[in-house]
Amino acid sequence: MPAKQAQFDALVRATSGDLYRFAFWLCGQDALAEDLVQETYLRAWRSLDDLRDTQAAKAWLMTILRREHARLYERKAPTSFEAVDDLDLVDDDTPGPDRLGEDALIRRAIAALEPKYREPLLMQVLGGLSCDEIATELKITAQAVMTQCFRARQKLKVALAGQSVEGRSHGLP
Amino acid sequence: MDCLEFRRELAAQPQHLGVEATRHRAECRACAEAWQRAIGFEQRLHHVMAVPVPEGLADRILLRQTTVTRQGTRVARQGWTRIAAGLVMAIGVAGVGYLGLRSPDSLASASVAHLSHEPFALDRTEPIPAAEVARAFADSGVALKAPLTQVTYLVHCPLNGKRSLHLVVRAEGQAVTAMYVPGEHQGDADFVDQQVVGRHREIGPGTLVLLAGSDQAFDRIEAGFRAAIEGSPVRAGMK
Repeated sequence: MPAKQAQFDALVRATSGDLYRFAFWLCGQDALAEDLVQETYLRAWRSLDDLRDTQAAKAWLMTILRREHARLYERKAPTSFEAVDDLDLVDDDTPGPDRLGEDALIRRAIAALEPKYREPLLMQVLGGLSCDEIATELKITAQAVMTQCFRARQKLKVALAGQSVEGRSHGLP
Repeated sequence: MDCLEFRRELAAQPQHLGVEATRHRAECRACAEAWQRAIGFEQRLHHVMAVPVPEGLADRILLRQTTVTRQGTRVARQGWTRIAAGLVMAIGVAGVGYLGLRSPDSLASASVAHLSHEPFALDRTEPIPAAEVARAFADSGVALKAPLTQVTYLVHCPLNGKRSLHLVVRAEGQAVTAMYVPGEHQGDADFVDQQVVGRHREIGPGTLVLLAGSDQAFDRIEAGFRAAIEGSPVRAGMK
């Protein structure tokens, strides 16, 4: 097997799971997430020579996927088809309030986050990226990333607690 | 670093604490306990974000990549043969061959491959309201001129790099997958691919692809789409 193909095989097997999850939480649909991942890897294959640092592979793929996602909807704001509002696949038969577990609560809260909060959080939790790395990928300051990740976690904790923590201890966890 | 600064950094990036924060954690028991709680929350976040990955995803990615690569090699090889036969003729043949032969194959293949991405699409039987179908088409820049009925599945999907509509239409007791790709113009053709019978037709500003186990309902469904998209006299109903 040629070296380039072997490298690509290893890249796909090492990263496709987390990249699929990243895509799923971006678009909220399993089929669309898989298509985005497929397109991302095709583009990655064509520009594999650009990947110099294997440690940065996941960040590189996430950037390609984000562009692919944006390209898909660049002329349209997401509609109900694309909005993350259908997590049947995750929530087992759409449980009612009594059956809704804490994990499901967190999932819904993640889905409800504004993209500016959700994206850096996903890159951090699923991609293992630092705030500096995320800042580079998103082309914003590291301080802004820290603020967005901080607020994202606060919103999830509020959802989990079922009560507002606004103003409580200046946001201390 | 004081406790407040530590907690702020902890909430922003608990997995990547800086040197100062790490030092503070070692010196402050309360913050060390907060760090433990934060790591627990991170593990929980990772757990809930870990939605199931479709089985065979990596294999499908590699299959598509190797297929595309081989197609590219084959097209290049054909091109050189034609050049050897004569430059002018080669340009014409290569151009016509590429546009007239390769593209329909790729749309057909991409449509068939897409079926496996949404295996539950055919299970849904409840009709989607015609108004909702019309909205989805309008969202893709296509104004329907007649209602499209008996649609039981509808979602936007990328196909061949274009935003398309993936539908399931029920007609003559059969569930038929329909992909409508606005902006795609690949002529008309019938095909069989992986035991799936298909056809694609240029309708309105795009191409309609129909896929099923047999083509018994294709004529009726195609007529329905023509009526809905082009406004031909046939009513766009499928019963």
